[in-house]
Amino acid sequence: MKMIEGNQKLAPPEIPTALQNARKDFPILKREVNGKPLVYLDNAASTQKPQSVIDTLTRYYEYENANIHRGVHLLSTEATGAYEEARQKLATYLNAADSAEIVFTRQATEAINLVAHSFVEPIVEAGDEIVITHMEHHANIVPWQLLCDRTGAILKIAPVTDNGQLDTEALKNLLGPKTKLLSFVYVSNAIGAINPAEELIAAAKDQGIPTLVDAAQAVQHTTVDVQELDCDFLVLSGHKMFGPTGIGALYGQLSRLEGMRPYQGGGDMISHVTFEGTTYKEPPSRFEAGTPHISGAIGLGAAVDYIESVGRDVIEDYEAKLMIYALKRLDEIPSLRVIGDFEKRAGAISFVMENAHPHDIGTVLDTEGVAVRSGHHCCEPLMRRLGVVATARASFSLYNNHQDVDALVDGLKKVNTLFG
Amino acid sequence: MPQDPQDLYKRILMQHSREPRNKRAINQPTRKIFLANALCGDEISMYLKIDDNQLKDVAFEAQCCAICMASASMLTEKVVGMTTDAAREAASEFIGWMNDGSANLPFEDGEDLGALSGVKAFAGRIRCATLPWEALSEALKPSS
Repeated sequence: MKMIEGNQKLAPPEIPTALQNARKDFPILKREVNGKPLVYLDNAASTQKPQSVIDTLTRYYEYENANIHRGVHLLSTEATGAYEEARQKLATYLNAADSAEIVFTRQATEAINLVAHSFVEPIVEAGDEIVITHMEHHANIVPWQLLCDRTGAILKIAPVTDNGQLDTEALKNLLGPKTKLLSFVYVSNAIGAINPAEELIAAAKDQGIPTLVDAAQAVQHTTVDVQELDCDFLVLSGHKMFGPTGIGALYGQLSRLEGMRPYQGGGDMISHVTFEGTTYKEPPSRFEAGTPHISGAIGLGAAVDYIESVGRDVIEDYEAKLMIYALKRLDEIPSLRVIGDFEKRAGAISFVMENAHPHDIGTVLDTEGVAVRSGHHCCEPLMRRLGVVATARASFSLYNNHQDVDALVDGLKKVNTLFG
Repeated sequence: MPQDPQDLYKRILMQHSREPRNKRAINQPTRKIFLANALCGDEISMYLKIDDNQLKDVAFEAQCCAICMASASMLTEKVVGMTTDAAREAASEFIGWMNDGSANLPFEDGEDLGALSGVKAFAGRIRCATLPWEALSEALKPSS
């Protein structure tokens, strides 16, 4: 990145028409924090919720609440319809061929654990291999470590370069006849790097290796098309894409899901239960034991509607411009170093400062009303690989604007003065 | 109430943070304890040299924020020379003080530890100040 020279005026990105009213759609953005307007730059941890999602949840509990797939009464029928409609919305959003390919889970974490238990564990033998990358969130590390403990399988880690990029060639070299799954992050929550998902999936497919894409940080920033990607599995979390907490989803190719054993046992996932034996429903019900998070799923459907109303191309284009503006403005602070150097970036900018620990940066920014995340971002191995214990991370969403970036930079200048 | 970072990062605290006292390892320590704050990743190793039930030398190594660093630095100066019982008591009182509403330190001190009172207004940072004292407490457990 080049330094900004002298008085060269930085043009802030223009807000596209479809996003002109975005800030008004999110009631929390009216809030003050420590006497200052809230500048919310912790979107990679969780995004804020638009009024339409909040209203959908309220309406569900006020007018529609009932259990699904149960009663013949009107409310139950309506709730079932709304729940299944949400599944269809998510399927359309990801361009899944069939809504039965969408399994509702608690979040991306549970979706990964589901795949580990129901898909990988039955096909893995001691000495087989699972390939992940050095860039993974703990959610895409620990389930595989647990699986390896149970089965004697071996976890292989594709390396990351000094500048925070995935070494794709090294990853391809790890794939072989013993590989039972390639599981990788699409967009890094910690540093914002975008991985070449199609290329990696194609390389795995060449050898008949199933793939799982952790798209928790991708689906809210860019168009994700599971048929184009041709991945076997893809996971996401609702609360990172303007939906409620406690709801997420697993996409799985129907042919894969059909062959998989249940994840948890309980009601709603069975065809028949006798004490002699039980038969299970077809996907996706087979993987949704017990009463699911009905309001969460419906709320996630509303979140999908919201994103579609803006348009993903608009979001992707605007956020890319905002990110360029942010990177240039951060360049004004000499003691600040952005972690990772890559052309393709989405959502997050991670950085460290010479004299101030990320935790202290976070506190000073908080007194200015600016919310960022500081810490290891649930990516301890990546942090160690890049030679830092922790970073401060500003992560962006469609409602952020250049004033938010300016407030961040002003706050960081105060950090500099205080710790200078 | 607007919070002022100046209240938090007082001069005395910044001095301890920039030039921490006794930030070193101790050769063949009587006790060594490693403690981490999983929330933020701060890490501290506390070293104690104990002779005849008295803390002869207290030192630490850490990768942590300014609050944690300053608190650890102040700790080493505060408890060196104490009996193990007195140091255990001091740790317990300090942690209690950080977590209660009272402004004044529960024990005699110069002005240094008092500088940490500003941390109490920042709920998310209290653990940063107590981490070194938790490590001390852990190191002084009879079984450790």
